[in-house]
Amino acid sequence: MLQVLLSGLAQGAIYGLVAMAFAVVFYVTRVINFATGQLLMVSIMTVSGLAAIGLPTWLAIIAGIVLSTGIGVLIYFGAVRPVLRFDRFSFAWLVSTLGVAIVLATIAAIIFGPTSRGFPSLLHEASIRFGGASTTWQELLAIIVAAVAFVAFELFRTRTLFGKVGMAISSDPEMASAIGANATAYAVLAFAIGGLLAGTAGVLVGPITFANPYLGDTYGIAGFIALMIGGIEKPAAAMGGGLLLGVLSVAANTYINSQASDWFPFAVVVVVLLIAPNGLFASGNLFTRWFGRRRPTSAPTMTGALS
Amino acid sequence: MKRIPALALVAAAVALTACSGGSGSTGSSGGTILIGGIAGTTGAYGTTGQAAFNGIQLAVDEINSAGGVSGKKLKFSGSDDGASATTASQLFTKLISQHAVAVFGSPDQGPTIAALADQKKFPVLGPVDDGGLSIYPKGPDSDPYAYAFSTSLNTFAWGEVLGDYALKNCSGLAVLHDPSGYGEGGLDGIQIAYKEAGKKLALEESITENWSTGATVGLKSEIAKIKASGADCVDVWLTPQDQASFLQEAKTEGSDFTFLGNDETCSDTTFSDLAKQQGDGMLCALITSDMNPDARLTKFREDYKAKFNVDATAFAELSYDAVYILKKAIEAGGGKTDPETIKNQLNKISDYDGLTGSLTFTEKQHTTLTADQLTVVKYDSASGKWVPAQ
Repeated sequence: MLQVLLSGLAQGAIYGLVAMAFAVVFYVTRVINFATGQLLMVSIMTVSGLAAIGLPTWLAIIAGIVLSTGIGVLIYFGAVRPVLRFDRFSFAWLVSTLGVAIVLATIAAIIFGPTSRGFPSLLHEASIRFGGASTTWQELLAIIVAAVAFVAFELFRTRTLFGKVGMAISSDPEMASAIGANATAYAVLAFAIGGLLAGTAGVLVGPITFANPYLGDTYGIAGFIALMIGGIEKPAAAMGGGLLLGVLSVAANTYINSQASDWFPFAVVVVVLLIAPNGLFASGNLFTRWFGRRRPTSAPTMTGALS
Repeated sequence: MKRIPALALVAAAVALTACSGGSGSTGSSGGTILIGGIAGTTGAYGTTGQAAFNGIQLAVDEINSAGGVSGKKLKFSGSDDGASATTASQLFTKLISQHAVAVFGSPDQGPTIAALADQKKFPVLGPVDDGGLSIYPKGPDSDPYAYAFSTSLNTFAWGEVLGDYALKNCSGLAVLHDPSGYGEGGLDGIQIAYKEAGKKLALEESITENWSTGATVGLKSEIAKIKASGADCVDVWLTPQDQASFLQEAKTEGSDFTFLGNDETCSDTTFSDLAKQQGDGMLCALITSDMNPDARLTKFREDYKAKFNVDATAFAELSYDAVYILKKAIEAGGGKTDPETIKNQLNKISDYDGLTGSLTFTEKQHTTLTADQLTVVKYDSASGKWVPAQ
């Protein structure tokens, strides 16, 4: 049981970081960046490539995360802002971000080749035991980083003026802009944080998965499922969805059969959507209503994306 | 709605029939014989498909330089299926309509192509996936598809030889395999050896993989199951990246299993590049003739390198062999290139001296590579080479 929990939390921490990357962007801009998984891949491939040519690992890691952050911003300017300026209420960003995802994977395959490459093992060769369970320091680091990202983002969002203005923009972009908030700057920041979170997730999972240009699909889908489970409304809820998805996937593999993680997450999503359409950890969900803590919040909407 | 004159419909039907080719066509036109190729030459398996096409082209060029087949030149038309079953089936139909006499491939969509060969009664040969269940869809004890002939790597053979090794060297064997025909074929091969010895596997687990990127979830939970099963050996019949990942997980945990792989493990450097020192001692099997190249194989490799500027792989060699086998079949059939004649003559290919060994087809045997032609090897990380296992 402890082993399932440890392995699940480690896996879920990665899903959670990717889900948070989705959620941060959606929280501010009402856009889902379908190239988020590819930002994880960009950081993995960059670290792998730079380490292979002899760059110190720490420098390769910084370069990988900086690049995924930078490409996150470029996605906003290249694939999101132009289509929203044309029609703020259109869903063209869905196609444009999916297009970016395909382009990024193709470019990576051209540069690095289509097959898997090595990745620095970092802390993944050192294991640690808790009771009868074992994990690696790399997996433990993933859990710690996910916790830090969760706390730091919530503090930033709720305790700083910058974060509070972001909350105002996410609630009512027109009103926030009317009182002087720079909505574009917040959108850029959201895409940058999304890239940062996805890139960090890449560095954490790279020693386990190695480097492959098509990894973005796998983790993009898992992150999106986590987002749906936890709730799209708040980044912290998305992290909760990621951790839950990780634990449930490993538990399904352990207690049902080794292929159960293929269908189990989808079954969970269906159940979640039935009992809590906004996500298990979103405010206003069934559980919070049960406990009488419901707060009046508007349901998330896909319209009115922030340009 | 406009009425279409009956005469126009008849004319269109006649034209379509003429274009459709199929089993009634002669299979060659003028002074050329068209052979088709289907393989993924881009994407994750692109290098395998390209190697197959290169091997075929090299053989075609050699044969044409030497006068062709029954007085006709061979023409090779290879297309990329992008590792898509839909594309592969469309290309297959297109090649039939173009009057190809046979199709080579596909290394990545073999089950689709072999099933189509059976359905259309049209010969398919060469790199048909990894043999096994692609050719014998109902298992190793059943009949093969009548029109599918594989010179490719063969999951049954690799599974059998590795299973045989495990029987002699392990007290218990666990098998982790993917649920596709590839993984199931490997399991069938291992079971050939175990059933013959009257023994059972300690554990058999099916793991879903993304063929490009590896397993869709961590493999750590499998380690506990293997330990609980009492197995001391594990055949990780998964992609090379998952093999490397599993070895890393297991060795970091301090597990001292003996690890076995599959035909992909030592076919290129993907596994050894990823596993590095942790891959030390990994077991696999290689084609014996590949390990001890004779003068002809050495020359092939030199010619291949000179022409394509990359090293030849087993897929290049076995595809090259397949073209010469087709040539032999057409010549034995008196130059006839209809599907029925080619199929019948392929069934009579006996002890063809190919680059990949002595190759035989019969009505029951439609895979050329057998367990007898393989040698179990072990990865030596110090030298970075696969050396014969003791």
